[in-house]
Amino acid sequence: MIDLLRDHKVLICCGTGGVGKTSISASLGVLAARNGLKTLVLTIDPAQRLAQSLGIEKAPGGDVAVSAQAGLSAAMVDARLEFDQFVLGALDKGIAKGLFDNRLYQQLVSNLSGSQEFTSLARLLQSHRSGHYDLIILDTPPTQNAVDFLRAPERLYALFQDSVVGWFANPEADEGWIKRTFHHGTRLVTGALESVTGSTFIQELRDFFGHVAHLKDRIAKISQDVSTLIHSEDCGFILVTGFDETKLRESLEFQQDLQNEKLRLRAVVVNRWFPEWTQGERSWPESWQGNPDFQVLKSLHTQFADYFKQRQVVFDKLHDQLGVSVPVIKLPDFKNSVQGLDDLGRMATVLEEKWRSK
Amino acid sequence: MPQFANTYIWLFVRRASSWEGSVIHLITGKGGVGKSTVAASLAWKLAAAGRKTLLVELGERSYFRHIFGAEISVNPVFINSHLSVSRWEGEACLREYIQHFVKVEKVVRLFFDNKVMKALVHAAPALKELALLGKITSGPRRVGPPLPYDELVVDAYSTGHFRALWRAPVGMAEAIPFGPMGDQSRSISQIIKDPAQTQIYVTVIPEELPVTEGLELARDIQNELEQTPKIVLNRWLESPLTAEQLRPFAGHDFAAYLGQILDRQEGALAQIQTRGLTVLKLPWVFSDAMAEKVRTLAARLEAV
Ligand SMILES: Nc1ncnc2c1ncn2[C@@H]1O[C@H](COP(=O)(O)OP(=O)(O)OP(=O)(O)O)[C@@H](O)[C@H]1O
Ligand SMILES: Nc1ncnc2c1ncn2[C@@H]1O[C@H](COP(=O)(O)OP(=O)(O)OP(=O)(O)O)[C@@H](O)[C@H]1O
Ligand SMILES: [Mg+2]
Ligand SMILES: [Mg+2]
Repeated sequence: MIDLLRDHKVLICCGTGGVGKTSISASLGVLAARNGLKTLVLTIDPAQRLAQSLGIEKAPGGDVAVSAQAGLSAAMVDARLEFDQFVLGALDKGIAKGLFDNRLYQQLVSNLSGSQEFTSLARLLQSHRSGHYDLIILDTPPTQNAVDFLRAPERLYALFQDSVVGWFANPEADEGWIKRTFHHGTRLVTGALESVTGSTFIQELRDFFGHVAHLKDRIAKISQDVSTLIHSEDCGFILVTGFDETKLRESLEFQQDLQNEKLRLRAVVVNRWFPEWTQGERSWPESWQGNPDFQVLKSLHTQFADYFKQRQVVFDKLHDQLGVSVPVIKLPDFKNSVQGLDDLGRMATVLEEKWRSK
Repeated sequence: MPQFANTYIWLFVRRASSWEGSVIHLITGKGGVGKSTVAASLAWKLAAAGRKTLLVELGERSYFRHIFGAEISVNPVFINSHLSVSRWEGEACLREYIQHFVKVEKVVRLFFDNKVMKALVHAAPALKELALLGKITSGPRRVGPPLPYDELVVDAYSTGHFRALWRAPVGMAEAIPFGPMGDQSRSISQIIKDPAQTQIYVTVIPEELPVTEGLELARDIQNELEQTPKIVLNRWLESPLTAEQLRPFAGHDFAAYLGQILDRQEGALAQIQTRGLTVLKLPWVFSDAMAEKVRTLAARLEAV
């Protein structure tokens, strides 16, 4: 595992909701730090207890050195906060204030469609540039479809291009917004937009673009730089997935998505693969045989064991068919949820073992 | 008396043109808790009870194709006499919505070919969400193509995205009070706030994070949509042994594992009940065949 960690400056953990992206990002961070790499983990929405263990629960935004693990720092990326800070850094106060008051801006930053993705990638870029770290591990928000995450900066940038901003933001054109555009086709389109949304909406839209016109160069620069960074040799992707037929199929699609984008998938982690007890079980004590409850327990045990065995068969068959071309690491379903530093440490140890025997 | 006759005729007309408007069921919850499985099971149950049901998934990729073994797109696919499945995608819904206002096909095409509009559609706040909810509520609002179903079961997004979905019309109705956008947003909000027309199900599994996240969502729904969602407690282990009965065997890995599941379950149930929310328990089905899972869960839903 350490070779994977050492060979990259950035590792991005992707996957659908609830599969364990945040836990695995954090434990990879522990593993890297143990091996002497100065590491930053950028988490998104960590569970409260995990945030407490890392010591970041009271420091939204900033990097915090994790006291119990030398070499490890962590931060929480808060989309709303980061975006506001980005705006404040890029605009003068008066314009920024006008933008904060705009209702469409409020929708944009609190809505998941793009801003969370954009801000976490922008934050990654900033931390990467700081040069403080050997390795940065980026956790990602849950997406239905992984490519959405990567396209977010590009999409946001498309919204801020001259052609778009220019369309709406025209300070002197208070009268006849539609009349201003002479081209017949364009006029039809603007007319359609107005008839669908109404003039109040258009007014708000124009106000919005009037303010963001000043942001576009920064956003363009960030999207380009993010794109360069994630396409470079320094950046690898790790897919986290659940133990589940459909999830595995999704992984395959994801692998394809990354390939199409010319990005580097480095590993697949199948998380919560099996409960720990299914591996290396102890036998039952003789003395329990007479207990009627024990017979019930034993038949339950058979039911569970069969269930997990059956899933294993399905999984193996599928795995062979899928032709995943990168290492697949299988992690057990731990007894306790992964929230304390010791849990992270245990997960890190298992990750390393499994990588070695992959 | 004339008044009565009027009402009667009105009801009759509504029935005859199947404009009654379907009941909307929105299924949400944290990622991976079983939203899609629960949605499919609920749809299956309603259809089995003789209701014409449309099961809808949202987004660009289909999950239900794995369950029903058919390609799923915007045109409903028949699963049986009462159940159809379809997949709605934001941009297509927006197109339909715009078509509703701008009747000329050529203008609609121009609109979607336009570079500026493309950028706006992909990144502008709330447009796609508005279009999706617009379509979901189109039956009772009597706009757009008819949706001749008694029940509409929507596998809605997971928690974060689901908030964005309803906040689009609710927020827009407040932000843009005038004009067609404001009117649409208001009428959409009205439907999703009305428990007689829209029922919301927050799915959780007996684990800490899904329950916490689910209950936070439930609170937001109560505050912002002014209605109380049902909590579906999915993957509940129906154990023949109680935690007490397991105690003598605690030394063994498997018994410890079971004991922990039972503790977690009781904790989750208590946490939900202290909030005074209605809980529907669905069992953990020990089968990997999706169709069997759906049928088993549907039968359980029948009972409630
Ligand atoms: N291998 C594991 N064994 C036991 N519990 C685990 C394991 N991996 C993760 N968990 C637990 O599962 C829950 C979800 O994990 P996590 O928050 O890391 O997922 P996520 O993919 O980041 O979720 P989201 O998409 O909501 O951000 C947490 O409570 C975590 O402690
Ligand atoms: N009651 C149940 N018993 C056993 N397995 C279940 C149950 N409910 C769901 N599952 C299984 O759990 C897994 C996740 O379910 P599902 O895909 O429906 O979740 P989801 O919330 O829609 O996930 P996503 O957030 O990724 O869309 C699936 O393998 C499903 O078959
Ligand atoms: Mg997470
Ligand atoms: Mg789903």
